[in-house]
Amino acid sequence: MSNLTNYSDEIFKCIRCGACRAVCPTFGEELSEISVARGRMALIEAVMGGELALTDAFEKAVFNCAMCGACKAGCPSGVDVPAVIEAARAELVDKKRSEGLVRFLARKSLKDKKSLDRAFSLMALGRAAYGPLAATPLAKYLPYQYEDFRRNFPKIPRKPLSSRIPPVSRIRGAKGTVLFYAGCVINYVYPEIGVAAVKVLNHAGYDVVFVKEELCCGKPLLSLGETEAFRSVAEKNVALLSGVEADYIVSACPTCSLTLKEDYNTILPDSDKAAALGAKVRDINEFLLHETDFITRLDAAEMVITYHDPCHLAHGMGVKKEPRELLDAATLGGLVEMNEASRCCGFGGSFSFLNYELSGRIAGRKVKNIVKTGAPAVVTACPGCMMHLSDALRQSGADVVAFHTLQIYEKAIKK
Amino acid sequence: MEYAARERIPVTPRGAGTGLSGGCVPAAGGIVVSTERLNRIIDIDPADLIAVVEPGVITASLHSASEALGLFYPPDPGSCAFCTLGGNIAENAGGLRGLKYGVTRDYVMALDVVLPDGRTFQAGSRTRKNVTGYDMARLFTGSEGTLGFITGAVLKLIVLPEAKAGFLAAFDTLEAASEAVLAIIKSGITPSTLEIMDSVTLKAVASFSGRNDLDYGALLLIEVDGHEEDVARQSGKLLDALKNSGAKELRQARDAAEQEEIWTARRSALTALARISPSVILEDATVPRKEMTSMVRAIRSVAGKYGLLIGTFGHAGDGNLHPTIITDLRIEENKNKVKAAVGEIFEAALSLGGTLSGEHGIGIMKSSYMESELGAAGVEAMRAVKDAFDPQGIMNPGKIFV
Ligand SMILES: Cc1cc2nc3c(=O)[nH]c(=O)nc-3n(C[C@H](O)[C@H](O)[C@H](O)COP(=O)(O)OP(=O)(O)OC[C@H]3O[C@@H](n4cnc5c(N)ncnc54)[C@H](O)[C@@H]3O)c2cc1C
Ligand code: SF4
Ligand code: SF4
Repeated sequence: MSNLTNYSDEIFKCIRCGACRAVCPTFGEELSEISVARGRMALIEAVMGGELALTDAFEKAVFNCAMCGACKAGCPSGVDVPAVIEAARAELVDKKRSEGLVRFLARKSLKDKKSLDRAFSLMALGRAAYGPLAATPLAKYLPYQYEDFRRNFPKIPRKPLSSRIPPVSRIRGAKGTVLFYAGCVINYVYPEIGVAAVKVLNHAGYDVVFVKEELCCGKPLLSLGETEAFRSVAEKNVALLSGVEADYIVSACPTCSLTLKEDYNTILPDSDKAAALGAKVRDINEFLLHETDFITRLDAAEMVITYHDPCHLAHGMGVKKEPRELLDAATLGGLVEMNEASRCCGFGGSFSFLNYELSGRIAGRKVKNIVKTGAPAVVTACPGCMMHLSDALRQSGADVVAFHTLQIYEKAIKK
Repeated sequence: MEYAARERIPVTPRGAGTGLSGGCVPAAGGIVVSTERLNRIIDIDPADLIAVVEPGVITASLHSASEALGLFYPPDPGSCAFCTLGGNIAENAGGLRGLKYGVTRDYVMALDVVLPDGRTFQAGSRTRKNVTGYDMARLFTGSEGTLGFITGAVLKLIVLPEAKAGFLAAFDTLEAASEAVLAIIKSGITPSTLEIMDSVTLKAVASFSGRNDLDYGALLLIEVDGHEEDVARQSGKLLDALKNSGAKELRQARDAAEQEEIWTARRSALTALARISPSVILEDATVPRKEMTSMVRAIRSVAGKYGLLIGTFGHAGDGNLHPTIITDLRIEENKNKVKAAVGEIFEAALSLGGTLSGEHGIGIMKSSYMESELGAAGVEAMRAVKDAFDPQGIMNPGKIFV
């Protein structure tokens, strides 16, 4: 990663056709060439050719990309835009020493398990105090001024997933063992999704191992251009997870899956362990449909839902039909498609923290598409999307609830 | 425009920047005026059968807005999901449905125009008939932004055909496929779409999408549309024509999903070719339908002569082929080869009674070949038109004319 010059071939592949304009969520809102993959590639090329300095405007163009990968998935030349943008961000960090609160916090808190636990328990406290404080004149003294105070953060529970499930959940006559990788959002914000995952995986016939010491997958660091910090996290996770005997590594967060599967390989090209690990990674929907007979073991109930494709799942891993098939079965044909189901919800991890206003406009378009279906629930396969959609739906006043696919599957196995 | 005229600053209109001849590149510097935010569909009138639009509307948005009302705007350039109607009008863009439904020109009824000196007028009207003086709307259509700025358009709509059917026919050679095209037209039907792909393109698509059912010399992809009964009748005639011209394999899409599958192969043609090597040069030479076989041979011999990989696909029904050169332009030697090859492809097209460009325009890429098609008098006549509108030469300078 990093070292932008390694990406000159990738950038040269861009034939400037403009196809990315149709799918790029930031372009859809900004309607400006600097906010679309094509323009970003052109700017990065100009920087590499010495025609453009690392100006603030350049920094903004490179950082207001949601890293959704929709451009890459639809690009005739297959330009790996997110990888090029990650490299450009690393270059900025390297040469321009860009610093900011989000970056600082990410570097400090994601580096090891202790810091991670501490960060999230602080956040739990902060979350409890933030709302009331934000409504007072003291608001302007609060940290995190990047944020719009309208944002609804979910309550962060006191007990993360790691203190709710055992290291091993066995069943009788298991067909094999999966390692469940939770990732931060599920571990700290939505542990109930992790609990559901274990139940569902057991029901599908697999023993489930959970490594309490797992670290954040590191994607936020990579997105922020913090290459070295990312490498260190990747090394630790590879060592930790490779030590576990399991047939598959399954995650319910597509961002984590994609990072474990691809980015660890890229940053640790000589590590056989990283390669072996990557080969075992599956998104949980993909796993349930292809490797188990879970779909035949459902005790389905009628429910009308619509489905939102998480970017890293649909564009990053090409998994689109699996969750739909499972959901349709679990709701007895209750799945109604929304318009632009695979268009980004605007979350994009650190993107939504650095560009909340833009990310909110992207979410607004998504909310409109959701509401138009008339479904009372939107289901997605990513805890990040779920968090962002919940926020946007609440702000819009829409009477729609966001769920993770696993919460629907869990309902369909309760007898 | 008034300001630019006073200060003699060049102005280049820009839609989505998807043009394939360099039209929106500010060749002489100056001001680039983007229509990005002029993107409203102002009205769709089902009684007058027209759409009133701003120039920055994305072509596909007009498709979906009119189809929702049972109406149809046929021009569908391959880029319709991301190019603008203003750009389509300025380039007189074609598309896949050209054979039966014509090109953008056939749907332009009126244009709001800003002249290079800042004055404005409406060329044409909301009426289907209009012979009040010269047909200025047509003149501005395909003018590549060199005569004035289009700020609004009235476009003709038709009623959405009720049914369609899709077919795929495979042939041993590209020549055989080209001959089948003639047989189809002679059988008395006009398919809405009639596309061709050669073996180079098919191989690329096969390896790109992991398909193993594309190992042919050439493929025709055909769609007929109309009333339900009419579609059945056309389909029968089409199948006969294809069988008689030696199609090795024939498939009819049984449902929308299969139809989609057929078109995915065509839509991924450019994508698949582009993945082979970093540079793609997409040409647009067009010949009378009857000469397509000769044109195909000429392209092949050019490819052989310069050792270039050229994939050919395109709108066979219109004789509008897109020979696509796949290369790496970072290597100096390739640049020269491509230049020579493109020149010879143009020469071949002209000698067969064809044209330099069927739908992509002249822009900066083909201006040096203008005289070979039009002759000195032809270029001068066009130049006189340009000078009449834009005596200062500030409107998209450097385009069309050398
Ligand atoms: C993948 C791909 C497939 C394509 N397929 C087709 C196809 O099937 N058929 C086809 O015909 N073309 C095709 N094209 C070419 C291109 O999309 C068309 O030429 C399109 O009409 C250009 O529209 P644009 O909005 O991008 O215009 P631009 O590229 O931005 O501009 C094109 C020209 O129009 C002028 N212009 C733009 N707006 C205005 C205005 N408001 N007033 C005056 N002048 C203006 C510009 O100055 C320029 O000269 C394809 C391109 C790509 C990349
Ligand atoms: S779709 Fe790909 S090749 Fe086309 S402009 Fe965007 S990044 Fe470049
Ligand atoms: S990753 Fe998403 S936001 Fe970024 S350029 Fe590509 S499509 Fe646009």
